[in-house]
Amino acid sequence: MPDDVRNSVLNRLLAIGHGLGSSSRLRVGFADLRPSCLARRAAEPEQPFAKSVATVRRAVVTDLVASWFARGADPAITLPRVYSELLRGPDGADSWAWRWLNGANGDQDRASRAERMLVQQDAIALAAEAIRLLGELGCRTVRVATRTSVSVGFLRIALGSALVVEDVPTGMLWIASSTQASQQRARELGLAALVALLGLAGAHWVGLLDVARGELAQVTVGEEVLGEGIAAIEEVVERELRRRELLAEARAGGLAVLWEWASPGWECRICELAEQCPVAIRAPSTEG
Amino acid sequence: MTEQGALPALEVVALEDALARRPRPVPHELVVKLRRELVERARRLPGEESIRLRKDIVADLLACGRYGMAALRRELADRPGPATVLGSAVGMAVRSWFAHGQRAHERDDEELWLAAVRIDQDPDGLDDIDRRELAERRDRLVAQLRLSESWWPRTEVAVSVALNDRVGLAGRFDVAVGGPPTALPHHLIEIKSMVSLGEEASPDVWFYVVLGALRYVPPPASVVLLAPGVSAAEVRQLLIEPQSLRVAFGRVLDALEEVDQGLRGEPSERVGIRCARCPFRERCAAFAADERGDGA
Repeated sequence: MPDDVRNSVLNRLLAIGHGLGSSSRLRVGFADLRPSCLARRAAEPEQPFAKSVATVRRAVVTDLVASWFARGADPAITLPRVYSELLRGPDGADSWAWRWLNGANGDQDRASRAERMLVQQDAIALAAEAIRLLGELGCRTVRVATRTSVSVGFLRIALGSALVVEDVPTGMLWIASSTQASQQRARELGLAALVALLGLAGAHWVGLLDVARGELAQVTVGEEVLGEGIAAIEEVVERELRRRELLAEARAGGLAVLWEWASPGWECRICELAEQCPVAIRAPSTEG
Repeated sequence: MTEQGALPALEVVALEDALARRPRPVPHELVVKLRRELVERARRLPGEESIRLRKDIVADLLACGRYGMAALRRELADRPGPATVLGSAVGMAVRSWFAHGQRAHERDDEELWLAAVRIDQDPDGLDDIDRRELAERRDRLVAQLRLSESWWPRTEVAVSVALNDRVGLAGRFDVAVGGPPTALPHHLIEIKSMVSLGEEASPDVWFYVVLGALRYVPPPASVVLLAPGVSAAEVRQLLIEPQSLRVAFGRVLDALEEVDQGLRGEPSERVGIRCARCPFRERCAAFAADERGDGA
């Protein structure tokens, strides 16, 4: 990618981030592209970023997949063999995800034996399917990406564990969750392209491996997909600015000012405001 | 509309024989045609609501449109019953056995499986008999599943298929064996916790036929139901062939028809076993008619 494109992207991200006017960086990941209820986001107390179970699982799967390819990409993978890999850990693995899995991360993210077993089993099964799928797609040389987040001014784009596929041409891919919305997928690829451009010199393409669908959504890193990424960042920043405004309004005028911005959906089931919110989905409903 | 009771019976076979069988090939054009019908039906659904069909939701929709719509919209407050919890525990036990292989794994026991179930369900509803039988049922199931590694068994295979940006089908196959890159036929295995396979287990199989056919090219050879049985595991099989494929796709088309009516605010109402836990029954004409004894 020419330097002028890279510089242009950097300048645009700097300008967008400047609007935040904050000393703390706004963290942007794939999950921030998911539609969410602004009222809930405004009302919930700001928490420091914490790695979720899904993040742990993806990190372990990514490590397992890379480790498997490093050992010769044997096509006859079986669950017990991946499990052996998991017990041993990839070469020299001493990451937070493996410590979490072994219950060695201390009190702050101590999970029960059963929770760890579930993540372990999910990771094994997902890694087995991902390895199978990558083999079908013709990938032969795969390693863990060492840089999957970039900071630009007040922004930090952090996309978690990823793989670098070194077959010609070199590309970078993430194990993705299934989504039905093609627009959201385009935005995710846009974010991935930004990280590839700014974090991994030489990545010609980015991809999202949707194991459940058996698809690799793949796009060449170019101005179009970078534009999608910038648009995605703009949306997230706008939403963050609006959230801050709403928070100030709610502090001054009470929760009622939030309802105008409430949107019913999957979050209602876990939202502490659902009892008071006039548009929340409640269960059981009286209407079908 | 296909009635659940009218579904063809599944064949009773031994697992070894089931995995060796080769069904009549399904022409790719047939899958394309059936898929096109689903896509077209999905395209004509009113509104903008996201629709994600799973096996239980399709079964609910076909049983009663109103109940099925509530299930689809996650508006039912039902807590999982003992049968569901037992199913989760048995599934967990089988997954654990597969992951650990045939080596002895310290503390891979009922306590661990129930603790894993407790994360999103309440295993306290299980009676003592079910708890005592958990390990025995797993033993009977895995006695069948001691397959050669060449079958490449994998568990909890999540599958998702999009018909368009808002309508999709999703599910998890308990166990999948064979298929690329092995040279063996591809089978999907659904693990059941019940000791005996009754008709109520059959609808799941038909949904998996559709999911498997849409996700894999060529479609899997069959869907196998495996239950622990009373003294030995019980196996039933549905080969994925042109005729079974048409029946299975027909059921999903019918479910989409129910969704269509539900989205238009005119869900169908039918009396059945779901009435006992339905929050709408007090205002349901079909239920009232059934209570009066004049049929629905």
